[in-house]
Amino acid sequence: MDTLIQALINGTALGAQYAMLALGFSLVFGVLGVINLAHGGFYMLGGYFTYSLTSGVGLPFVPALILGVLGVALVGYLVELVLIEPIVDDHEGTLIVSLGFFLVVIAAVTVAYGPEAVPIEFPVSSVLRVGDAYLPVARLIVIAVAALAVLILWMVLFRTRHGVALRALAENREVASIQGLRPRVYFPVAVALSAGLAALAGGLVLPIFTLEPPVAEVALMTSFIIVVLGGLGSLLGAAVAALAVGLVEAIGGAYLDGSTTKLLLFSGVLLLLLLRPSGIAGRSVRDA
Amino acid sequence: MHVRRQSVRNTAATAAAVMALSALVACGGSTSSAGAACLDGKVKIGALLPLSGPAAGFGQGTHQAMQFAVAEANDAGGIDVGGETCDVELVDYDTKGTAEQASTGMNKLISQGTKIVWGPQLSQEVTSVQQIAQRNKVLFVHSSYAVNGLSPEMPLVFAMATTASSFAGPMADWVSTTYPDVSKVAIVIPDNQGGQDTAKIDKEAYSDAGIEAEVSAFPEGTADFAPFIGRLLRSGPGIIDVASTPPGDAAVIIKQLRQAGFDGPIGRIGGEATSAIIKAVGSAEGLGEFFYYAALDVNSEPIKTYFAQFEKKFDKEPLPVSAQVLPVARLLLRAIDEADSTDAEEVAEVLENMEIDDPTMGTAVWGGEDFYGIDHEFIVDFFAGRYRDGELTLTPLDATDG
Repeated sequence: MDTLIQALINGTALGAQYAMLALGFSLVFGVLGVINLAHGGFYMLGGYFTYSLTSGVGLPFVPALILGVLGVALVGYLVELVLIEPIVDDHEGTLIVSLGFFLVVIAAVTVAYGPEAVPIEFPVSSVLRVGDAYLPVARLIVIAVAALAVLILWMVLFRTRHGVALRALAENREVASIQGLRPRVYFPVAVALSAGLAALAGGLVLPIFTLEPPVAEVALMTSFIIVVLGGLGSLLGAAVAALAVGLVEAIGGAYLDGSTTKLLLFSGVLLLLLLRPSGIAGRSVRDA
Repeated sequence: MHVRRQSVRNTAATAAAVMALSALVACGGSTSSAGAACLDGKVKIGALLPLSGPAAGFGQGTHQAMQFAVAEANDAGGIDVGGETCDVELVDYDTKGTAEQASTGMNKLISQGTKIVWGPQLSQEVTSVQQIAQRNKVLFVHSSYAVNGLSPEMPLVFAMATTASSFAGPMADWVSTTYPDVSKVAIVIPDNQGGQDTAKIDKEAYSDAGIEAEVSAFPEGTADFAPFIGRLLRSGPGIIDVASTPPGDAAVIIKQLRQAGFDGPIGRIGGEATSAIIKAVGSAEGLGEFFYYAALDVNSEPIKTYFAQFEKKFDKEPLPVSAQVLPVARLLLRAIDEADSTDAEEVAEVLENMEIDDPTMGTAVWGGEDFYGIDHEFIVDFFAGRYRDGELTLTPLDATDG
């Protein structure tokens, strides 16, 4: 029973982390119609920006994390404005450009920080014990921050004028443009929001695990699988799929050896997509 | 709407294709065609290594060793090939730690006329290039612990570092003496060929030393090891050996084990990566009681001299693993020079008969016949490293005696 409790908490923490990653990925697809392969790079940059601000500048962790998130959001804004915007309707072009940016970022980080993991620590290392289960407080913080971030994203999208504008552009760009909403203004904002969410996940979670360049590829792959599973462009689907993947990984990992859990997970994804090709929940931001 | 849905589907399909393609993309090497011998005063040697990806720390360190050896050789006037004196030039290919890229890279290097290759690194890479290299009579020097990494049927293949088959036995004996109360060890490995090969060797070594060993594998690409660690601890091991787990993953496992309350010894009878692990853990104190196969003493004068020379030459600190494989990098260039050729068979014949007395790592031997059936493994004495409260002690152990 203790094992199951621990697996459920680990799974929820994993799911929360995946949700932050996948929501941003899904948001960009929903609003711009772009599959942004740079997303894993934003996650990794969140970790490295936070690291630089704590170890280089000497800031405490929380301000460093906030500044790191804002910094990566700015990078995301510029990436959209400079690289994606000129070819935003060219699906293949945006894929190639975002992949190119992703590879450049990984190479740049490897040159700047080296190929090995850098020393970064989460400021809270205490552990709660429930029976034989141990619950690192850091994980509970990840769950809380992720829940807060998702709530804020929901409020931004559904309770603010700019959120309505973003959803209108996702719904029908031509009509929204006729109404005076300018994609050139809102598209970079969507990518900045997405990059900021990924950076928050990276800055928060990587100090708990490890911060090295390969994490970007794992994050990109995980985001992509979750978003496909949840339904391209659906925020609700992405959140549900993220939690489901986190729980399957944690519960499977607690009981099964080697790659069996991955096999189960991918078999499940394959089966679901065979039965429901559009994923768990629909297509676009407006359905969230 | 239909058009948009179709477009979405096309885009998703293209994205999947691009992501799959991206997994196959690697930084290519020089595109100039080079002959096997001296061309325009240069002889080219392939460097087929994981310069990016999870094993990049190992790959870049191994690359640095050859870079340094090449610089030494060129500074000394070059090497003789086919009666000409040539500068040595490295042609790099990044395998990203994957079997597909390793085989693609080997083919590319061969198409450029390269007959001597430094690398690859990982077991799955070595397995993937063996047939290609053998068919094309290419000599390659790898640093994997693959149980099929050397054999009499592959006389052109050498191991640049002492492998687990040579150091696991003495290390397991040291473990049983140092921790006499421990009767059970859990060997933690990534679920791939390299992990399985190391686990097989380590398990046998522990068993011979009277310690029961159980292997636990985790899937590659794991970020959060908490579920795995819960399962691991339920089996009640006295020692946990992270074997050949990549340093970044090993660091997370160590951090999470200590967080979960495991206060027994954690070890690493696998590739030397302690400095990278300490960096990722945050401090040597964070390791707790920790032991490892120490290929070298980084505080010894010859090693410090090499580090200083490297830094002066390349304006950056070398990765410690580079010192470990530097002797064979030097030997390989000397063998080409003495053979006066880049013909793989001629170079192999010279190389396997060379006496080894390296200015950085000292005396060593070509061995490995007992395990691999051929003396193509570089074997040098080593240390059992032990951290307690952040303090390191090194106990010399013998590997060259057999």
